[in-house]
Amino acid sequence: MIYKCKNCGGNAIYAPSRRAMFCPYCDGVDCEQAEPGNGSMECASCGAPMQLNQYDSAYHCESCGNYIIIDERIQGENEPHLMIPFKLDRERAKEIIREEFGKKLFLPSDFLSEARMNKMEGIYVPFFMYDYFCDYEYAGTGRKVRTWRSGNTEYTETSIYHIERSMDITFEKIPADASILMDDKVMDLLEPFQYQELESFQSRYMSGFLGEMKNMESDALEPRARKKAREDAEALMNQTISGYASVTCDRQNLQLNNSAANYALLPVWDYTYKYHDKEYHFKLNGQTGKMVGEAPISWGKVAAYGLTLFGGLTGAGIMLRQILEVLL
Amino acid sequence: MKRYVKHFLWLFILLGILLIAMIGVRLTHAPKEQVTYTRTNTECLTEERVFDEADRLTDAEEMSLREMIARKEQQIGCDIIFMTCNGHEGYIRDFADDFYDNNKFGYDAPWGDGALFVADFETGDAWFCTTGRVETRYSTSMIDSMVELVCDDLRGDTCRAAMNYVDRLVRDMEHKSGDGILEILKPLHVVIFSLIVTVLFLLIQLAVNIGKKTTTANTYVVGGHPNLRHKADTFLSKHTTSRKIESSSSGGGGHHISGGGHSHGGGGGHF
Repeated sequence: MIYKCKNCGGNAIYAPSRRAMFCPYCDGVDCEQAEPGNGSMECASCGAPMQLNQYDSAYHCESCGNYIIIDERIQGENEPHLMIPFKLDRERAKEIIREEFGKKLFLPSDFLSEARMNKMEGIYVPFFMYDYFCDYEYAGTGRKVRTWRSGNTEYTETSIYHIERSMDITFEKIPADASILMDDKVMDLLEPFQYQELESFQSRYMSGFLGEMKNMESDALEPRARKKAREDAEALMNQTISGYASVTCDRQNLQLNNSAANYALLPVWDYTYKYHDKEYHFKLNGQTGKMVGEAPISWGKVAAYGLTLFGGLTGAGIMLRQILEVLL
Repeated sequence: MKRYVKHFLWLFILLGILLIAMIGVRLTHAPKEQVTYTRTNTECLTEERVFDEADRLTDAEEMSLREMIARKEQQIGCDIIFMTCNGHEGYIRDFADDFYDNNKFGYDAPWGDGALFVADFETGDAWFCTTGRVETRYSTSMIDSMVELVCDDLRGDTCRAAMNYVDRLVRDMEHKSGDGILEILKPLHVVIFSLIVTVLFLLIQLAVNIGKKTTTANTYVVGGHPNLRHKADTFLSKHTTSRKIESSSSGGGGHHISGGGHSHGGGGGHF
């Protein structure tokens, strides 16, 4: 599938800054018209062969520059239930990276260059979102300790309490990415997404971006989401137990019942920078702008700055001593 | 390159200013002449400064020590006396005070500026007696430091102990108000400081990992909080333990008046 402009026939793309479909060729707004594709082998616009990965659902044709959506990977059982459209456009994503790294001294010179950053791509990453109902019973022993002095004697009073709690927690849409390519830790760090902007899936939002279909089914990912839910439930339980010097758990029963799993696409900007044969990936939450990644380091710059500072401070100290030796 | 220059502009300006100041100071200030004192005490009963009654020093060592003391006394304007003995009467502090007073030591006047170190090789007692400017100059910690320094070598190498005593006394008496700053600005200290600042600067700049967890336990909870159905904290028992608090006491020295009615300071130790 390709979205074409009704007016000029150019590739209409979703423009986050306008919250609308936009034709970059004739500046037309909401002028898109979906045209069927040529399967997953040929570009629907120019017919050039496409180099698709197994799970790519939206593709940027290197020959004609148009964005193609692979119909069979977003339809039927592969159709996402929900999605959050990109809220940040490429320019805003570049600004955020520059704001974060602009003051860092040891980055390679072209790390923030326009040419490099223009290669940044927006990707719709597949996620499953799990709902859980949690029933949590807890019993433990708490100790309160009070210390005081009288004369030259120190007294320590320890009071023992029996603690009982029971709570229920309803978790909604705990996300876990269904992409093998994406690092789970990085995806977890990109959270949270603002769910009030979740919408039903619409393929037009994918025009202008890359996309992946789910790499696995929800059952395979469920343990990861369950682990998150369990950790959150335990943290919430701990929040209700306060004022004790120490607490020992005697008995606990945590039941998690999975009630639903939604397949969703969430927006992520990806900036890949290659330096000394190593790839550095930066991921930006395409909705909130939260950034995760590790930047490359130019060790030549580290040496130059380090030696200058060390030499300069040492020289300044020695000269100051020479002056004071004469004056004092 | 531009960024490098801009980042270190302050350092380059500072180095430039210090360089100009250093050259200026060198050109306008002549090297200081060594101050020498003239002895004004004419009532002192002896010219001797080394009393080796325990016979711990060779003749050559005694001679060398005497020459050193004669030179250093002019440099700091204080009598410097070193004494060894095999037994003494009474408390070693009183023995030292009396010896100083009876001989009317003092560079400027009888019972004036000077110091005496007594080491009794029979009892192992040592005493550092200070008078006049030396008494004023020496704090308790400086006295302790002196006694420790000298006592360390008394039995092994008495001559070296005596020379350490003279050297430390001269160094302490020549200490000027600006010496504290110069002490801080020792080349080794400057290098260590620069190294620490540089390492901290590099560590801060090298922290280029971005991304912290910003979800909380409540993030995915409907309504933002759990439904706490039951909460009970039931008191079961209480027990109390006690312990005695050990108190520590400390003593200290200070200035005192000798049997002859003169003010002395000092402190002692054992070797």
